Amino acid sequence: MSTTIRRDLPILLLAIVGFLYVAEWFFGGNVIPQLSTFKGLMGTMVSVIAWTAVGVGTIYGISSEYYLVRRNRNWQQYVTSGSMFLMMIIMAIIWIWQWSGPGRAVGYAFQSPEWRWWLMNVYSNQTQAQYAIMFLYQCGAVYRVLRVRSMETTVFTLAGLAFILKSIPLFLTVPGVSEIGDWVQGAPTLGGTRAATLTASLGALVIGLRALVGKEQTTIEVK
Amino acid sequence: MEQKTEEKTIWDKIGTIDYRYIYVFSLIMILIPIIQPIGIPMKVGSNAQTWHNTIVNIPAHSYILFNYYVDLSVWADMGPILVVTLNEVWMIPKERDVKIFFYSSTADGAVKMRDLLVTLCKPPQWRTDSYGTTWVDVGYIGFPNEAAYASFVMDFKSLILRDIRGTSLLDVPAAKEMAAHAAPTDVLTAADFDLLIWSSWGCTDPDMYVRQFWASGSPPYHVPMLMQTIGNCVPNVVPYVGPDKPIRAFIPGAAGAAELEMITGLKGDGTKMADATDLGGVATVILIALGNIAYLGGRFLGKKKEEK
Repeated sequence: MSTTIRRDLPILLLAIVGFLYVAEWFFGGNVIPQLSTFKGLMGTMVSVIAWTAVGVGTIYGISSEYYLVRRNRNWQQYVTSGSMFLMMIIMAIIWIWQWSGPGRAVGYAFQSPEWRWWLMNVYSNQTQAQYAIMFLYQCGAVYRVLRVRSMETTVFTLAGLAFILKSIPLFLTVPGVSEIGDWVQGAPTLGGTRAATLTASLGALVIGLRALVGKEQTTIEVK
Repeated sequence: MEQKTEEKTIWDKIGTIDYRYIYVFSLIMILIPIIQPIGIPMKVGSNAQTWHNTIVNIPAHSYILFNYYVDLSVWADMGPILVVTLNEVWMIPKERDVKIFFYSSTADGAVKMRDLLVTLCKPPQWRTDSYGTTWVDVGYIGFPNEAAYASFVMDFKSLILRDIRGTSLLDVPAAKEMAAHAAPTDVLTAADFDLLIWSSWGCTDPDMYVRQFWASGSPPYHVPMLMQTIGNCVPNVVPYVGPDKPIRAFIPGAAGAAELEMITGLKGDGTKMADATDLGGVATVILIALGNIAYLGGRFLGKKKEEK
């Protein structure tokens, strides 16, 4: 396939859509209403494309899991991958079976007892347990990492401690803790976050502009 | 052959406690309030108070956009905030004529909301009877990325066609009335709303919401917001918080829900969770202290004994 189709055409389309998007920011609304209409239409298209990508990603996920099973033929892998495939098949059956029908709205599967049972009794508990386990890892990490070994780690430890104390209702009843926490939140944290946001935004702007004019290496590289 | 063995000092031992003991200790600390609630004292912060005041004092004839975001993995932390907030919104008197537009940016939310509306967050009878005229629920809207949000704020119909009862969006009287609130009067946009209540545990979401619901639009939408999140995301939220800023107040985690429950008198899981948060936090502080005692003790007081 020629580089015209693989590189130049996508960049041209990207540039047209991108510049119209940027133009809408400045001249949309009452100035050039067509730009706002275009942005709305593109937003819907983006949504469609993104959900298609999710579907494609799912297919990739299934195939990679399948190849993983073929590479690792042991019982642990069979259990891990098998449970995933089993869940997918069960869910697919529920969705096809309950999606619509007489007296049911389209998309009823979302509210069907089977789907709700799985969501509330299996998925919900499993994900909450997974999230809770992170707290244990965090406890292990703060014990090992937050030590005053150097100037940097001392600042990090003290700021982290002030923030933790402020986040815990019990410590807010201790005089001074709230004030120190507020200061950490309002001065260094705020400044740092603003700096990070600004830096990231400027970086994104530069990369975006480079992509729009076809200079961004990650966009134009064709092998 | 010369053998060199090192005997661990007390500081080494304190500084290298097996992970398993740390996990067990942390687990016990969290389990205590679950088995026996303690009722640890707490203070109502300014954020919770502002949150409450914003809802209670919302001007008559206002329109609220409410994203009932539910991620079941963080339900224990964020669920209590949603429950108490939703109940607060339901408590707005009928005479105030405040209308609400509900949507969920998570698939979990669409399912969980059905449970909440018949159990923990049952609306008053007059709200139930006036669905479509005083409130509307459109269920789950999939937002794959910011471009979808950009499209949504300009015209809700770009992503939503019908409400949960299958009525075409602008055929729902409440939605039609909301659309007429600000120009263009036949399109439902972010500009039609006086308050946005939303939540997320994505720490970069505040940037996106501020860009789309505050900064975008011509003229800018400037929709004031109340935001629920988890404690980790606080640094990402604070740049946008203030009386003249996009986010008027934010509630970080179940401890904040407990504060709201204190203010409103609507007791829920937030108060129970606050005890767990408290003791979990105490465990964290103890572990930080222990690690540093070990380090400083080893550095300034300890000498390793060597045997040759």
